[in-house]
Amino acid sequence: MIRTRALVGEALRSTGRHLLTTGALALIAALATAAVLLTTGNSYATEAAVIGSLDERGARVVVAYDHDGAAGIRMASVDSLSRTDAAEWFIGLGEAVDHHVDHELARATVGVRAVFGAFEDVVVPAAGRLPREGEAVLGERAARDAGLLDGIGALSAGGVDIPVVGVFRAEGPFDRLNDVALAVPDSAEGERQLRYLYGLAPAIGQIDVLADAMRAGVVASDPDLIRIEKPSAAADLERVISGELGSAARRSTTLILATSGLLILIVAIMVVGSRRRDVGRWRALGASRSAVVTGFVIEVVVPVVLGASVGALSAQLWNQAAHDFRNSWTFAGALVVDATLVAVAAAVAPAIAAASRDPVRVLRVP
Amino acid sequence: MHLAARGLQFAYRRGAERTIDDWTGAFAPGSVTALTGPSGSGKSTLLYLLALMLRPTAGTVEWDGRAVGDLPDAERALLRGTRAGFVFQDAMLDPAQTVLSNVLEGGLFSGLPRRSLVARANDLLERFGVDHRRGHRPGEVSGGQAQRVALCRALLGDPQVVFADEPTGNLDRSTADVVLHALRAHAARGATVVVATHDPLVVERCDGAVGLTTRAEDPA
Repeated sequence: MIRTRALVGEALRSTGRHLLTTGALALIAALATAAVLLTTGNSYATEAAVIGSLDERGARVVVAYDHDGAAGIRMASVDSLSRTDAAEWFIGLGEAVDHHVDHELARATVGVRAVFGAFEDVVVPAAGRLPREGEAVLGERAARDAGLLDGIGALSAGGVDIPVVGVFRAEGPFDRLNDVALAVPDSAEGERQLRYLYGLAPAIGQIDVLADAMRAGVVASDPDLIRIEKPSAAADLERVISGELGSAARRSTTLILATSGLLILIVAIMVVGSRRRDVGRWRALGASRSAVVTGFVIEVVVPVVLGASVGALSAQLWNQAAHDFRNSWTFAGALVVDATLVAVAAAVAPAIAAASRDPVRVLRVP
Repeated sequence: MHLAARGLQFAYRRGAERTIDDWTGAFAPGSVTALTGPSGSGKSTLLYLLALMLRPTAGTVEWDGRAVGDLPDAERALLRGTRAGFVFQDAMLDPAQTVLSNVLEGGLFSGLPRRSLVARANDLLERFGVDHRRGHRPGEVSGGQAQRVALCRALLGDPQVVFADEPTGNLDRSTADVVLHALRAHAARGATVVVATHDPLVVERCDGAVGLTTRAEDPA
């Protein structure tokens, strides 16, 4: 035990005495580790930026629709699907029914659709307030056409009046709602059919999952007549981008690690090769071959571990500051472990060669 | 320690002429014995065979009656580290370490606690008049001082046997006398000292001499 401690202590002291090689090993390890993490960070940031632009709401909306009303989608579908985790929200829209606006400034016809679910997630109030049961809001364009820009009025059809309490603005895939009014049905009115059922996937990569959930979970008289539309082009593009950027990052990582491994091997060979007299002396003083190998491995591994740790920590902090992103500490730790293994592998072979050399050749003076 | 060899044979390469050919001899405790002979006669080779640095191709090396020449490398290294000391011709100090660190290297594999080694190292440096150089590096001391430091390193673990390969080869007369006096003093305490040398003045100061005349391929 004393000998082992003495050996380890001497090897550690030796790393401090040979600052040039120690520094070189630490620097190589630090730069390699940092380069991998920074490359990964940049790749992630690039991927996130590209996918972020693809990940707009419009690229994540899946719609189930009943083209001619024959499928009989029940309004209970909204509640039923909302209880799953398949989407951020579900919204159902009924058939558009023409209503009249009788107003001193204008006389207009506005299509009114019953709306179910969290429609406040897709519209922005522009005037007035959002409707409660038995009330309606006008889309911006419909409000302009109807002369009800303040959102106060009434819509009539078949002798039934629906009070209008506000105006909304819808964007993206829901822009066409600006041409209609949305009315929240009175729950006492009973069953209503939906013509459109919208779901927003949490991420572009979960569009297919949402589509499957809607296909399975929609409540309808004839589900086979329901059509499901999903923005597959964006999802495909997201997969391609993730795949290509991921491959590029992996290739960079492999190249960096291979290059750094080679450099560490070269320095390790230099470390061992320049210490032939030391090896001869140690062998005479009682070092076994395994002790010589162990000493050299420690001299190479210690600065590599320290350098890799510093490099990993620096890169993590940089990524956090520059990209608001940080690789997992597990990944960073794995890189340090990888650098350690590379150092061991690089040091062992030259150390064994040095330890196996005839020490007398070095000790004897011709 | 009683040191002996029987029928020792050694060749640096298979098929080459034997550097040591069927050598038998013994070295008693408390004695200083010179291995003499012209250059290439195998003095150093025999020294290093006895010191378990080389493995004989035939024959035995015995330390205190135990055959040790064919032991595994780790066991031979352990014996060297715990029971032997070495003095080399050109001191063989590590230029990256201080004088004190170089001396302490002699106890690195002895298994002795570092604290006791440091105390003994300082005593030895003072005894040989180089204690004022303990913080200097080998490049900052003279050749004679370096060899005295090497002597301290060799004696640090109070070895039972000291192997010296041309210990006075690069020294002036007075420093050579210091080295020889130290080796004789250590032998007087019961240790066995074996000195490979071609210097007749060194041979004169030894208790006995073993002449080697075998010529062989120079392994260097």
